[in-house]
Amino acid sequence: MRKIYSWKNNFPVKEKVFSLFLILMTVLVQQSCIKKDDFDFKKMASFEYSPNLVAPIIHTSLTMDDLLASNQLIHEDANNFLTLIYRTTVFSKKIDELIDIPNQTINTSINFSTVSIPAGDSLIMPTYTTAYTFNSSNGERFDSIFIKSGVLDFNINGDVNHNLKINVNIPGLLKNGQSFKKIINYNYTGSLPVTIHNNFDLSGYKLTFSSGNNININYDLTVYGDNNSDYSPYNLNMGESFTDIGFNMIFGFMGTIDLDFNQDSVDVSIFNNTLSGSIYLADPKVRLYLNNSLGLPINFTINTLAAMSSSNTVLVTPFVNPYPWQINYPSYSEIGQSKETIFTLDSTNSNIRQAVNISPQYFSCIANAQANPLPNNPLTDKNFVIDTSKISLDVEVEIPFHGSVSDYALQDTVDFSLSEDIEKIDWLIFRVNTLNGFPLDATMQIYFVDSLEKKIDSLLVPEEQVITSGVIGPAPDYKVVSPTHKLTTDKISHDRLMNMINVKKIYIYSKLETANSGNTIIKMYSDYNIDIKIGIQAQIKTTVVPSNND
Amino acid sequence: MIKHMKVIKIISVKCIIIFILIAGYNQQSFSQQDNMIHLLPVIPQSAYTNPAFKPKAKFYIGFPALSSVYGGLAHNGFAYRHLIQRRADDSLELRMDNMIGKLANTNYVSANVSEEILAFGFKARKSYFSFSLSEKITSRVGYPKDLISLLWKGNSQFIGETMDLSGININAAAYHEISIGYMHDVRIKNQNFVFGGRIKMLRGLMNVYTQKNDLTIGIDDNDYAHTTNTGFQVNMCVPDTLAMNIDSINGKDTINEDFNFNPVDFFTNNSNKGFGIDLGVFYKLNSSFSFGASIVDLGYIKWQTGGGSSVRNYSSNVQDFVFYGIDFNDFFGKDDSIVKENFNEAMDSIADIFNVSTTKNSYKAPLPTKIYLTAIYTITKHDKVGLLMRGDFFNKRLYPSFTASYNKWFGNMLSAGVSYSVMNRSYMNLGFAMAFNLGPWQTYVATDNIYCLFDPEGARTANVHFGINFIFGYKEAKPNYSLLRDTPKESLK
Repeated sequence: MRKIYSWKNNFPVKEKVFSLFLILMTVLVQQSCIKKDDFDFKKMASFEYSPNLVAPIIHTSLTMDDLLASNQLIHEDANNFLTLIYRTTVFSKKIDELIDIPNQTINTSINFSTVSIPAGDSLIMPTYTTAYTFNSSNGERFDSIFIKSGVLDFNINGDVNHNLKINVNIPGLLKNGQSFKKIINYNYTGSLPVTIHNNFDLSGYKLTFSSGNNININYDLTVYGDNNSDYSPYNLNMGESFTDIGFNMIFGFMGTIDLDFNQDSVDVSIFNNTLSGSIYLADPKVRLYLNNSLGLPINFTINTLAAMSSSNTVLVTPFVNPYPWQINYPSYSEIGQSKETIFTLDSTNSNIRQAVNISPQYFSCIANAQANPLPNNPLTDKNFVIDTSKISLDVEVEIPFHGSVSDYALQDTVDFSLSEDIEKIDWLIFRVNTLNGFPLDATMQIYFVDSLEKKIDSLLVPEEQVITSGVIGPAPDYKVVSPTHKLTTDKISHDRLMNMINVKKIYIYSKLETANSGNTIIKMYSDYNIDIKIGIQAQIKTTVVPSNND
Repeated sequence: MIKHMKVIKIISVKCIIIFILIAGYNQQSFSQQDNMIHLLPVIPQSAYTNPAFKPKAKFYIGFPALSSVYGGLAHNGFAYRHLIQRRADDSLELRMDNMIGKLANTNYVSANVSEEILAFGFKARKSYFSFSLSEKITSRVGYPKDLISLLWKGNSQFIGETMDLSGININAAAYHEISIGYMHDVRIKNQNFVFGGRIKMLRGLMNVYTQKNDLTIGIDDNDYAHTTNTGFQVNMCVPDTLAMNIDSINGKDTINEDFNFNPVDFFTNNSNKGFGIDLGVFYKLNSSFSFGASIVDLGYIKWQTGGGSSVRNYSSNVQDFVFYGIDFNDFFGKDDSIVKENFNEAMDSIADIFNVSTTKNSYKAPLPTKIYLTAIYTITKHDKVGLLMRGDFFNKRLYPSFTASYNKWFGNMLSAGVSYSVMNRSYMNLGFAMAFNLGPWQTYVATDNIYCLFDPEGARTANVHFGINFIFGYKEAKPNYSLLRDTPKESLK
């Protein structure tokens, strides 16, 4: 008989099992409990959080411009070869500091006698001529002076009891082709002596001298008749003076002038941070630029040219023949122009190479010059000067980046401090990647010092060569043909980091040398480049205490 | 016939093995998990997973607002106990390393809620019609293993490699769904099929949709330079005042302190229209074997500004940005004020590169499409064994889960089922479902993982689906015992 499903019958086994499962499930559901304590986050224990982090810190690409920090000093030729040039004007003097026209006092005294002249009549006296010799301050011979400024004064004092007309004529004093002609009226008002003051502006006049700095002044007197008695002989003192004469041009002979170039110096800043080391530069030069717009010959002499560092001094000795040097000067057809004379001291005519190789911070220069040097002929030598004439001396130090360097040490100081959060760092690794296109090896060290500049620690232990020279090509170019990559890593432990909490400064010490321990000759080009990347890896270690913990 | 049956059995076993392997490799699902309901056709709502699953009742109407209430949480990354464990001293220990070891390459946390407001259906000869009005909220937050590992262990583990952070995404949607279903019996070459479909009209309320995320960060093993690619776009459709407040945070606008949320405007927003379709087929091979296949929620919603909501699109597309570090010359040896100024300039430059652009363009967000493949073996008229292979589509990938169940009908009053599922990378999901019918009154409850009640620390899936329906015409006719004497045994199944 087949089983027929019915609630009234007993369930088959599988139904019983299933029913029991359902009942069990129901009971379990009712009895199920979520362990609340497992979700009580107030019971969360403290835990250690220790991520390991990496980051790129610094990426710098440096060229020659960046390294030398002053584009104006770097000169680049058509082949990108670099030369460092320092130039300073060490001496400059204008003509008004060298030549001066002193004030001239003449005081012509005219004595004359007349007869009684009826009123309404006049009497013309014979021309009275004064020959005056201009004074000079340095034995100048004046042929002509183009006057820029100045005054001709007449302080007349006379005992003539008649009215006079005084015609003054100076044939050698011309303006627009006309000689100086002025009328001074002498008016007798009943009392003696009669004093008259007249002055005349001399701007624009040309004063031409006859030989011996002489000029003539002609006076034509006209005496006017009146009813006054005749008290001849009379005296008329003209009281002439040339005052504050400024010139546009002077032609003549300026005399022998000694020019002393006071001591001055040219800073060579590239060597400022040098500590030690030796440099061999293949072809350094010092150039002296003399610019002269005075129309007269000048001899130039270097008394002292010295290369000076903090620990050494080398006198530069010129070997040029002829010595002293004769300076160029403009000719009459070059009035207003400045002529340049360049004297070059290099390794063929001086010891300049030895001088530069001490890494001098500056060059000191004392020189002098003599205008119209002896022998000269004051009567016949012809000079000229204009109001803008001047003479100047520039000293230029030329340092071509061609040579070699060994043990060349540099040091710089930078303020630096670490955050107190450094205690959460378990260790640090610095990773320095350099791709060096310069022909230089570099060893570097960083010293950490406290506020008293006492050394606390150093970064690289031991000191490491962090930069390797690029591959250098052959002569004559000595150019880097391929850069060199170098990777340097250094680990700093937690103890060392904690020791650096008091760091206030870092000393960056680096030692440069050209390839092969400074024995390879190199040249520097503007397209050299060094790429520096610094990455850091830090192991952080800190304990986190949940805030809800009791 | 027997050879035919053997072939089917062999094919089915192979499919099951392959799917288990696939399921075991990458287990996750993020939308409504309803595997138990799928295999209980006595519950009318089972047709929501295959529109060709014909309800037993000739007519049903859902209890208003209580015909189908679903809530579910899922996380395929790790279980609670993988992260937190109680020690012997009663304190709780944080086990991050252990948790990270349990993560998949891409992990998700999902939460879904669904409530049916109104539903009914009726049979008409060989056809069946149904109607449903529902409110749905779906959400999912994705995160990659690399992100958690990065935050806990730091980035040095990725030296020489690339962190894949493309798995970071947020997707959430709230919307109304009105659906009309139809299914029809079809006989093809003497085989019985049921074809069904459901058309869905959708009205969106709020949405966050990660349209794209290609974020990667690579670390060079030589100089630790970081190479970043950020190709992402996140779209949002939120209430106007919320959008303005987000704009103020991003510096686009001043902050709106009067955050007035109007719930009426929000729930009656008719601007965001969408459309979806479900398609399914049911094939009864014979009295023992039947098969089903369906695709559900194939469609989208178009989100746009209007009706009290605003659209925002946030995107960035930086390709191969490499950070090598700061320039030495800008900082070393400089005064503090200059260092600070140069540092701020450097940070501003980086921020400008990663600047997120904001637009207000409408967009389409797809629905979470699913496929169901079902095989049912009828042991007896009251006992059935089912195999369900479900796949969730997301981001152009298929995420499968697998369920085996046993269902029993105790006459017309009670039906129940138990299941075992492999889902969300967990092999411990015991499901249970029960439907109790008292006359037309039907109460049902189902869960895909009742085991979470006993072991919540170890669970990765928790859901419950319950409801009340009024069903009519579902009872079996009583047999005429007088005719049974000569009736072949097979015909009684």
